[in-house]
Amino acid sequence: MRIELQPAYILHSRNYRDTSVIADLWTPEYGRLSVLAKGARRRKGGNKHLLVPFTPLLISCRGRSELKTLTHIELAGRSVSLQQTMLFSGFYLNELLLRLLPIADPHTLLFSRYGQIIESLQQDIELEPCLRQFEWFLLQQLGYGLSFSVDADLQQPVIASYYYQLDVSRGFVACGDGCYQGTHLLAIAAADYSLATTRQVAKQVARRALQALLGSKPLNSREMYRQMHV
Amino acid sequence: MFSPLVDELISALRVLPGVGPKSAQRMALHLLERERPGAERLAKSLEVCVERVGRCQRCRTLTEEPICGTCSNIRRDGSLLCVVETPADILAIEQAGYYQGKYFVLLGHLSPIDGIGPSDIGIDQLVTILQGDDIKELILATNPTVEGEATAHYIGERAKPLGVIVSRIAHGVPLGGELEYIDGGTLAHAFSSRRTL
Repeated sequence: MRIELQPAYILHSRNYRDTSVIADLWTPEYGRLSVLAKGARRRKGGNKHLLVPFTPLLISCRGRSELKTLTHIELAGRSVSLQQTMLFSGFYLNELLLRLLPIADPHTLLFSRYGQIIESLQQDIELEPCLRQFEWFLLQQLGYGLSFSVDADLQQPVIASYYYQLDVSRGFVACGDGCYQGTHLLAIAAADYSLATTRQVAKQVARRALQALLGSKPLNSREMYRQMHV
Repeated sequence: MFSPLVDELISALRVLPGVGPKSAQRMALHLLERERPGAERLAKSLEVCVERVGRCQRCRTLTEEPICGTCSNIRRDGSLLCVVETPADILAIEQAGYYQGKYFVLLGHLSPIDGIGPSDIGIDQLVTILQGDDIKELILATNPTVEGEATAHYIGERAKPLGVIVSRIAHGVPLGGELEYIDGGTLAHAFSSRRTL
C-alpha cells in the first residue's frame, strides 16, 4: 500500500535502534498507522525535529505490513509548541486517542476537530469546556454518544429541576436520588460552561463515560496532571 | 559452528546496541585471534565496572564512589544545580566548559503515554536536595523535545514553591548556522525567546 502526502498528527513516537524512530500517526483517511522513520535521528539529514506530537504534518509512506516505512514528511502549516499545562492536556488527548481509536479506522471529522483543539491549546483559552467538547465528540464518533437533553427511559426532554443518573450504555435517566441536576445537563447540551458546578458535572460524566471504554487501566497523563496540581 | 565457549562469547557481544550476529562474530574472532591482551583488559574492566559502578547518591550519575567527583568537588558552585536527562548530557555540558555548578541526572524524561512518571525519574530525590541544600538556582537542561519540555515544566512547578530560581536553557539558532536552513519550529522558538540588547 502506498500513501501519498496524507495529513497527519503524531500521537506518540519512540526511538528504535540507533538512528530510527517508530511513530504512531493519525491520518484522516487511513486512521491510526505505525510508521518506521529510518535514520530520523541521524545528525545529518535526520528529520526527528518534524516527528513531534501536536504538529500538523503531511506524510507519505509505503509497505504491506502493519508497520509502514515513512518515505516523506513535511510540515503542513505552522509548527506548534504547546506550553506548560496545555502540553499536559495535549498528552491527555493523545493518550485518549491511542487507547480508544482502533488501528486503521478512519475518523475524518474527529481528525479535523483534533486539529482545531490543538490550534486552540496554543492560545490562552479556557481549557475545560474545550476538552469536554472534544470528549463528547470523541464518544459520539466512537458510537457511544451521550444525549444531554433527552431522558433515555421516557424519550422526553430533560427537565431542569429534575435529578438524573447516568447509565453509561443508554444515557441519562430521571431518578429521585440521581446525582446530576437537569439544569446542568441542559447547560452542557447548550455548551454553556459558565457555572463551576456545570463544569464539575461535565467532568464527572466525561470521566465515567470514558472509563467504561478505557477499562480498568488508568490514564497516565491524567494521573500525572493530578499529582502536579496537588 | 564454533565451539561452545566461542559461541557464548558471540551471543554475549550481541547485547551491545547495533551489534548483530555478523559483527559479534567479527568482534569475537578479532579478540581471540589478534588481540588477546586487549581481550583480557576488556574482560577485567567489564567485571570490575559491573561489580563496582553504581549511582551517585546525590546526582544519580554513574560512579564507583558513593558520591561522584563532580558532587564532592568543593571548587564547584554548590548554589547552582543543573538538571539533565542522561549522564551523556553531563559530558556534553562539561566539554562546553562554561558551567561550573553541580548536576542532577534524571535518567529519563516524563512520558505519560509510556507510563514513565515522576517517581521513575527521581523527582522526589531532587525535591529533597532542593529542600535540604542551599541551592539558589535550578537550571533545567532537559532536551527540547515534547517530553523534555513536559519534564521541565513539571520540575518547575514542583520547585517554585521551595523558593528556588528556576531557569530553562535557551533554544534557538545554532552558532555558525544560516537562518535559511533552520527548521521553522526552531526559528519560531528563537523569535519568541529573543532578548533586548
